[in-house]
Amino acid sequence: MKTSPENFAKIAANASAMGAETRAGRLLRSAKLAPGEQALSVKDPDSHWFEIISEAA
Amino acid sequence: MDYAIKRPPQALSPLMWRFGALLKQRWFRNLILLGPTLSGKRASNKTEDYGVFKPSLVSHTEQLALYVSDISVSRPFYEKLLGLKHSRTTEPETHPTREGWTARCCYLSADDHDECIVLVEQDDEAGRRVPPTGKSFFHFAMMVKGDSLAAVQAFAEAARRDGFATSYGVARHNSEPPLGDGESGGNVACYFYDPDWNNIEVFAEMDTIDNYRERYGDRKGSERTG
Repeated sequence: MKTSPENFAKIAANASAMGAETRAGRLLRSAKLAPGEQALSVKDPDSHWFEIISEAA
Repeated sequence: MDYAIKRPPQALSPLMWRFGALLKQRWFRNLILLGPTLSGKRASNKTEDYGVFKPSLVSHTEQLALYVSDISVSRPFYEKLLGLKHSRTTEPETHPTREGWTARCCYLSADDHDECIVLVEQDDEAGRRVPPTGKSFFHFAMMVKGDSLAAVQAFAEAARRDGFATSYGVARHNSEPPLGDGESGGNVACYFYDPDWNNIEVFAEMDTIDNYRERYGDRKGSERTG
């Protein structure tokens, strides 16, 4: 899911506060990340992984 | 380990597909929901009863990755049903979550959305293909071009002519006859299962923060019949 750089930081902080398992970057090695973008992969309580992608600043 | 493709427990059988149209009849919906109604646990199906209009921290879904059994079967399925275009298919790469496993990825693009869907084959440490169980997956939805009832109906008709069976629909996810099926969202939709029982919704005319007041006025959900 896409988000702004500001909200990316908020989501990262939320995930940390909630104790969710996270991983920097995208899950699939072949997945693209445009210059300036950041990604955070987060695991939900049902072991679904989702990615948060920050738009370039 | 048994790696055969199995219909997940929540997927409708082809026999059940035949009865989906009855959901457009309020008496049928009330009959199958009799238990929850009597126990007081029947959930509202009205868009405005859900807190869906608060601002979120994300703007949209960028990409959906689906486990599939065979890219050579699934890729043409999505290309033909949804008109997606092939972007690239990778060589096997390290599996993102299973140690010793590999994943091979096929990226598909819509006209206005680059690589929106990824089909992922996964092989275990012995090199055996592991099909998806589908047990935790409900469905994903794609908006049809034109965003209209007519567009969904035309899509369903064309898909059937091309040999794709709809598992459900065309129906509208509200209570308004003739298409209303008592669900929530307000959108019109038809559904298909892919070769791995991944459930695909093709929809239009979703209730949104911009249109739902125009559609339903100031009435609360509980003030509309269901």
